[in-house]
Amino acid sequence: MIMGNNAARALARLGGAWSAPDATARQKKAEGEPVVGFLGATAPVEMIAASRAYPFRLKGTAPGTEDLTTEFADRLMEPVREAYLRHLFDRMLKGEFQWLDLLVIPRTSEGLLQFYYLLDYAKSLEHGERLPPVYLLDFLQTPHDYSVRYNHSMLCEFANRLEEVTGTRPDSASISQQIVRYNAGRAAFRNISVGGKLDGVQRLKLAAFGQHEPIEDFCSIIEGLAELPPCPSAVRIGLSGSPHENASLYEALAAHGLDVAVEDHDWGGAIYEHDVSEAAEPIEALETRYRLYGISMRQFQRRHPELDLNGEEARVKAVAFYFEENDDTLGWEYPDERVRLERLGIAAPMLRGPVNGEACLGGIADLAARLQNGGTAHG
Amino acid sequence: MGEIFTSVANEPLATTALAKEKQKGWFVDFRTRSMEQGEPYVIAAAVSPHEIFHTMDVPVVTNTWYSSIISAKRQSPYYFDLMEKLGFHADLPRYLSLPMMTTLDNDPERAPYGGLPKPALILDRLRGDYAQRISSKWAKAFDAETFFLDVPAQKKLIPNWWELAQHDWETLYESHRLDYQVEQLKALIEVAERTCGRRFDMDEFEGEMHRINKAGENVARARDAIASAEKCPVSLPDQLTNVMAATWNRGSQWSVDHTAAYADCIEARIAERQAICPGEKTRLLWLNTGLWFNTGFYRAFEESHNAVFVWSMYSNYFSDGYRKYFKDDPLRALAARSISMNEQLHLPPWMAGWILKQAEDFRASGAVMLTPIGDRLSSYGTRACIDMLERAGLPVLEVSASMVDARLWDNDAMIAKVGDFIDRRIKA
Ligand code: SF4
Ligand code: SF4
Repeated sequence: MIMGNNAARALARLGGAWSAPDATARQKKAEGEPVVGFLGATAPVEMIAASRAYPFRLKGTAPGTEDLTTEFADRLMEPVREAYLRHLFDRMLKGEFQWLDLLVIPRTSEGLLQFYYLLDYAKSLEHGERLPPVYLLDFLQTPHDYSVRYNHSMLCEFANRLEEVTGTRPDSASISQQIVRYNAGRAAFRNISVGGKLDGVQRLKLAAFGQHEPIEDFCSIIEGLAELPPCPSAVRIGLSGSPHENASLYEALAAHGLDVAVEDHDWGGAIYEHDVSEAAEPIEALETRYRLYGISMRQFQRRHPELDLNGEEARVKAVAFYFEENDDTLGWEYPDERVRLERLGIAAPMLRGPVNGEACLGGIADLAARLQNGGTAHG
Repeated sequence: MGEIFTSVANEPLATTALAKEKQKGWFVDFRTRSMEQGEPYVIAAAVSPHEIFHTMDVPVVTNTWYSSIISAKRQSPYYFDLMEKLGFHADLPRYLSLPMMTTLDNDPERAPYGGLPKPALILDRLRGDYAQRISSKWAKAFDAETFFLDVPAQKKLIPNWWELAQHDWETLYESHRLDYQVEQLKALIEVAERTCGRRFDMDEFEGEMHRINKAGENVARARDAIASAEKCPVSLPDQLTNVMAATWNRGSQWSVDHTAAYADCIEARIAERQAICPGEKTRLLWLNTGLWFNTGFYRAFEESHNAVFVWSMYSNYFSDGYRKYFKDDPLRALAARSISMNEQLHLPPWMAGWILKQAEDFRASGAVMLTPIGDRLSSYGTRACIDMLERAGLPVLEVSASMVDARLWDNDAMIAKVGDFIDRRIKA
């Protein structure tokens, strides 16, 4: 089948954004729009957009720079910290993000909270002026009624801060508008991701696209991608565990004929699984959505990694659990998950980081051999 | 020069034996009441408000305590193997999870004291991200209830926290956080009453809170005496044993009396010109986690280098961090006590500021920082803290150790490392 023009254009735009994730944000800034950066998948972008700022999620590594050093960061940052934060800190100390109007750090993981304090300290040192202004969004994810009330007041405080930065107050009407706008993007993403048109690498890139490109572009390239021919069959697997802001694990799996059909990390498709309610009061709606479904280390309820974004069987033969070095959090659920999945006839191997390390590559080869021999869980 | 000092290098303080006895007595009581007679008890994080349960006369067991018993009985390798067999990967922190492993293993023959019986409640404070995961899993294995104390983040780290922490904690810890924490404590009290089947008495609680302040004053007196003494009168292991026993038993009249006796003993030693190392020339601080399995290490540099470890955070966290004076709202004071404990001890500007103040008061000229191996949570902030201390002129040596596997500690190498640090960076 021949690829249509729209699909080709969409792929080109997708690839361009993937290799230069901050280009659009920089351009917006150059055109005079305020740009508010954020980390993680629990910052309510609707609120940022409602203050007429351009929301832009930062990556630690830009593609092609995965092996960059962290010598600047290392003096102040322990080597056991999250790799993406070490890279990001290093780039920040070099002044790469000085132009941001604000950087929002949600405290939905200990790593992010500690990162906020570290930036606060680094600001007082030489080169501190290279760091952007930082805002801690103290958003909790515990299921208590007092946490709900607390979050509500934190979101109001966030609105105030945004108004200070952009001069525009995110009011109910504008937040509601943005909720509708972003929900449309989420629905479009869910639609294409269960449609058999994208392979895992493409879906990962598309998920990232929605985090740093304008939401209208997101919707329109999804329309273009819908014209792609069905992607060639490969062995479908799910991926759980640590985040992947670049595609190296996906590519290593693909090299063995394994395609990631669904994932639950905070740069993957699961970001778009849950809408924000359009019926509820807008701040309340944001509070519920990001407390329950904001993907983070502190999230209380976690998704089943063998289901697709519509909650249906993703027909995967295995769910690979990848944990980066020094993971102290996500691995706790693995033994129970393995038992549960194996009962469903789904293999559940563990892969340990780094991605291109011997252990991980060996694990991938083993898994591929097992699955391609037709075996599943007990193969 | 004053008269010569008498050495008490090999004499523990008289109160040290009493503190040890108290801890043994606590265990006998727990064993009889909860393990044998089935009285309700609670498993709680070390940094959670035990005061609520003390008030209700419900025994509290910390996972760190049981973990240290498992290690002391040399059972940890067995449970490490078990973890691996069950599929927990090697980077998951082990110190806090060993107790859960005894429950998952369900082998009373092997677990120390036959394993912990089912608690009425597991209470955890959400420091870090994994507490909720371990505790949920553990509670499920017991079929017990959990309560998670969430922690709103401190936005502004006002310098010199210890100056505000006792009287002006409302300003220091930010009112909106304290409001949250009070609501949370009220919810906890309700759950505690229901699960333990006891009533929480506010008057009794208020008495506890006053007694903790009293004990804290005694610890402050001891600390000031040690800091200003010409030569250190009491060893760090002795300080730890006495102050920790008072901390675990905080709120009791025993802890008030004990800390008073502890401070008296120290003052008496100073008056009698007794010192643990009469030739003392160098004073050092011990930073971050304690080296629990080898407290003798703190004393290893007295003969060789005339260097004495005079301080660790346990020396006076009880007096600086626990004391919360209040007029009419003891619950808000309790909220203030537990809301920023870890931040004060582990977050760089607060941690480093406090340490520099101790270095000055204790006339210390160097410090050794212990960072636990493979433990992301315990190492947060250590680099920035060292950076701040070094910038302020305090030389710091960082050493790493496993908190659960004493076999990984190479004592000779560590002694050489610290000795070398003293020679090169301090004596110069
Ligand atoms: S210098 Fe040596 S002999 Fe003198 S008190 Fe210290 S340890 Fe003892
Ligand atoms: S390391 Fe510090 S904060 Fe943590 S439990 Fe020990 S004393 Fe408490």
